Amino acid sequence: MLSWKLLKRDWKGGQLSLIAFSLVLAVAVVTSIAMVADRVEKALNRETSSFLAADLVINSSKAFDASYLQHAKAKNLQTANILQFSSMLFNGDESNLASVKAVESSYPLRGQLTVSDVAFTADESDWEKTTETPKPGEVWIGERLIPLLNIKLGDEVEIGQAKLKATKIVVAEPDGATGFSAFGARVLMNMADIETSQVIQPGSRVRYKLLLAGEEADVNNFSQWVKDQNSPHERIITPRDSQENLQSTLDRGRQFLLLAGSVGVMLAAIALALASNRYAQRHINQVALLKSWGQSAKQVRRLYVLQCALLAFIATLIGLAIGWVIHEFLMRSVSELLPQGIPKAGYKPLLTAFVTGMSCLLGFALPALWHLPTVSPLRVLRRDVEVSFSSYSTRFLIGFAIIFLLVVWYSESLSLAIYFLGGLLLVSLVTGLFGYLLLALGKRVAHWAGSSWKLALANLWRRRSQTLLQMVAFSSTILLLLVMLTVRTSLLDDWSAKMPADAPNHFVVNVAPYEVEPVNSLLKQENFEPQSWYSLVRARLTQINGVDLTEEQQRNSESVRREVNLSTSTELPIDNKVLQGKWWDELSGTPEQQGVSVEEEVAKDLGLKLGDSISFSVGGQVLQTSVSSIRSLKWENMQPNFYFLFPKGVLKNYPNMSITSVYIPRQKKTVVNDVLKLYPTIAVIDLDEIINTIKKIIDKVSLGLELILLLVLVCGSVVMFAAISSSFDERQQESAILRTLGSSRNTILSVLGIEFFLLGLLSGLIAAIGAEAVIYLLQTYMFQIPHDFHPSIWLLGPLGGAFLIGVLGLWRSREIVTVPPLQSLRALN
Amino acid sequence: MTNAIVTNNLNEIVTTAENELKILDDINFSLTQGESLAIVGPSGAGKSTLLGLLAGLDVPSSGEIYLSGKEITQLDEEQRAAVRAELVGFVFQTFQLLPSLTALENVALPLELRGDKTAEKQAREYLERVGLGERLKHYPRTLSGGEQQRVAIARAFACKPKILFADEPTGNLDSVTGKKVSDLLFEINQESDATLVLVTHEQRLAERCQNIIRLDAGKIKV
Ligand SMILES: Nc1ncnc2c1ncn2[C@@H]1O[C@H](COP(=O)(O)OP(=O)(O)OP(=O)(O)O)[C@@H](O)[C@H]1O
Ligand SMILES: [Mg+2]
Repeated sequence: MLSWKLLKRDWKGGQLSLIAFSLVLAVAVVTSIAMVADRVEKALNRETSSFLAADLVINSSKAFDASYLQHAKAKNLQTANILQFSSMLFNGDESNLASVKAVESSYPLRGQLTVSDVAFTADESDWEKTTETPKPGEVWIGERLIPLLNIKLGDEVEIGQAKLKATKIVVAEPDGATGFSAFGARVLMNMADIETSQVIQPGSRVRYKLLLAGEEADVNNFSQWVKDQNSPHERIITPRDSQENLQSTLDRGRQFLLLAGSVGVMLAAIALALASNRYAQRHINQVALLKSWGQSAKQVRRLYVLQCALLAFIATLIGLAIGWVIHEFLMRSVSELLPQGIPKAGYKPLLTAFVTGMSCLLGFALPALWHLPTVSPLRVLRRDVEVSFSSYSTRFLIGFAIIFLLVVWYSESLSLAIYFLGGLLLVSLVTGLFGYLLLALGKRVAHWAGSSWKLALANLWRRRSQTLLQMVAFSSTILLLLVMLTVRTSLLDDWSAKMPADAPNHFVVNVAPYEVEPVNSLLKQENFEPQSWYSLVRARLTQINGVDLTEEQQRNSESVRREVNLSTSTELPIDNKVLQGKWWDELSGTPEQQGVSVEEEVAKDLGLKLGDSISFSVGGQVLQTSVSSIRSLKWENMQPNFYFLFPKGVLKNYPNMSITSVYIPRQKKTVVNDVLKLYPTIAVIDLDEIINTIKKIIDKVSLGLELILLLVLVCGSVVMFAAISSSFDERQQESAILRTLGSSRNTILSVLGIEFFLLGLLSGLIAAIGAEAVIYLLQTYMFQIPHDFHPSIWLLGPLGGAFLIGVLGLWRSREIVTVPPLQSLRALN
Repeated sequence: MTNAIVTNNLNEIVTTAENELKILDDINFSLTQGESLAIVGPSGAGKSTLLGLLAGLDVPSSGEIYLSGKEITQLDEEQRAAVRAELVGFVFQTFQLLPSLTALENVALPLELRGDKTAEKQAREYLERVGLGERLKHYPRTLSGGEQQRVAIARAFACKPKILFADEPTGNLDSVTGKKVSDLLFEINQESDATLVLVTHEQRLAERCQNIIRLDAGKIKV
């Protein structure tokens, strides 16, 4: 094929390398980011699945219809049935009420149980991770029951009519104690023993759970099917529901990746446009020649379009391969952190890559080349024949539209795309204007400068349209790099600030009012600093403004489906912010002072406004109040957080329990056991494992971000390289003429050096100003963290710019002084 | 025998910002197939303009041009391209070789564009014919001016044009090299029985042609 042949020859001639490289880069950046995002998200979903022990849980107050299992089987899903109920447990003379979980042997579908032969050990080597379950005739005992029933392993425990042998101690269940509701005395038994125990009678309160796991699409399918059954007894729980706090951090990480990806693609696209422009300029003569030989415009266009398509196809394939390697490398580094294994990437990233490659070509390469076939053949005789290329503004509009569509497609958010690109547009306009002023100023100053400086500034001024274009390219690139660099660190700071080393890692819950004082002093005695105590009343939301909750409100809000925790506080808790209304201290003396402060998400779900009256049912009593403020909070801060907060005293007549959080270093964990032995009804929830996982994930994610940043940096350098190349021919010709006129190599070199140095310095300065502004906007509006000033930007921008452009420029222009002038003149002929 | 080129009241007028310029004024001549013609005249006389019109690279303001009996001024660009592909070949003062292609590829390219399967073989033969059999893989920048023009001549004749146009083919060469190149041009022209139209400043080159047209300020001087 002729196009293929021509492509190969152009490649050999070195004219295509920059175009191909830009395309490969754009595709590689998106591929790696899309694949990493896709797989990490899936992996984390699976990881959080292990908090549920499944990918999906259907919770019901009635036994499941047989059709559920059949349907699950038809969808190739793994299943496990669970029954949960309360029952008295007997061990000889001792007895205690326990929460019993009967499981099928397929449980858990995701994650593992942690079991041990020793109770209350803090020594992890005693622990054993397993996916086994109690065999028929056996029972595994929750740690909390050991002192209450005085059990030793091997004892026979009675549950209803069944006598079961205690064989293991359960330290943690994958779907166990991560929420407040899940503590207390628990046992695990085999489903097969339910019959003999005869504990399930008509009318007994039993929770039926169906655990499901399988391919994402099948799970979603099944979930939809269950929704369509529309059974009022059932509730669907997904991993996402169970881990809301981690989710917000992940969402932010994804936004960052996305931004980085878009920036990378955009930089590569700009490089592509510059390279294509140069390619077109250099092909004018070739096209004129082809046409003088009788090729029609149509034929020439077909030839070039075909060449482009071929090139794009190959570049996309290579970009895909490189992107895949990068993503694989990144995934390797996180894989150890994701013990549930990393699911394969879907096909979407491939599509993303392909569409990106083709769009870049369409939006950035083709517009530059489109009018090439209209070159008049007369140009072979007359050099001055004009070439009517599509105007730069048309090309800009096309490119802009394509990038806009791409960003909308990547982010699935119109507003984000508008902000992102609108910002960039503004930046380039301001840059152009500012650059012009600086250049004009420089020209005046040059009167006093040395001759090389004068010459350099005069050169920049003479080529000012080109200079400005380069300045816009350089400064937006440097700006983007500065922003990425800073935002990345401020993101990480944000994350680690949320997770200080001594963040509370234990929740102490279920503390009776009379136990608060002694437990508090016991903890203090061991030099632990318990955070504030909150008294906690379990209640159910029943009415809003005198009307029973609608079904939709119940569906919308997780918080009203089950019991919620009401609490009191005089102070506004850490990291809480009052968004509407006022906190108690500003309300004293008004009736609102007896009101309730509601968390913003819940308020949104329930449609609550300031002043709405709401009723709770608390152990049969009715508690009526009105909304006096709406408040935001940070779920990530590992403090006890509450949807509903009252002023102190309001809840004292209702049955309540207290809760606090405390930091207990690893080596002192045994103290927990002492507390538990003294106060057997208290529960302590250990958050260390969760915190550790999050910390590790954040560490690794930041490593990944750095790698991606590096990729973006490469994209940026290519843009600079392309921009420098675009003025290469002209500089070469000028220098050759200067040299034939007797200028020394050193003079030319120093003029060139000063030109690039100044270009870099000015661009860097503009970039620093812009970066500070962009970061301010990002921090204020997107990440919502306080803004700080960044002196490093003001240093790194101008100096880094001057260095980078200076070096890149001189390196790219080395031929200008090394090749004899005669030769370069002849080459340009 | 048919006429290779006939012109009828050919005029070329360009309008510039200030005034109208008559570059060619009533050009009438004809040329039989296989003959050669030299267009001479001072710089700015309109020689290149006339050549471009004759070759169908541009259309005149008025008048007619027949190439091998076919009127070309009424054709659109597509159709003129087809005529060029069928009849015309070029040699230029500045050689116009593609810098990214080797000598062989440069000669083979127009043949390849026509879909000729034996393009490379023919290109090789023509390069050998112009004495560059040893330089097939060389890039234009490593060839001397005379060698580059020989490659251009090989390229022009490889397409077996009926009419070959040459705009100052020796203008960039010293007189010795120029002589060699023009010898070659006439030699191959005779072998292939093509019509040759060349623009030149050199009296000696012009005199080797069977016909001479002298242009001055756009008019033919007899
Ligand atoms: N499109 C145009 N617009 C304005 N002037 C033109 C145009 N085309 C040709 N000319 C002018 O017409 C005159 C003839 O140009 P042409 O290139 O034909 O001269 P020439 O005889 O080939 O000269 P030389 O020997 O220097 O190559 C010149 O003065 C040129 O500037
Ligand atoms: Mg001329």
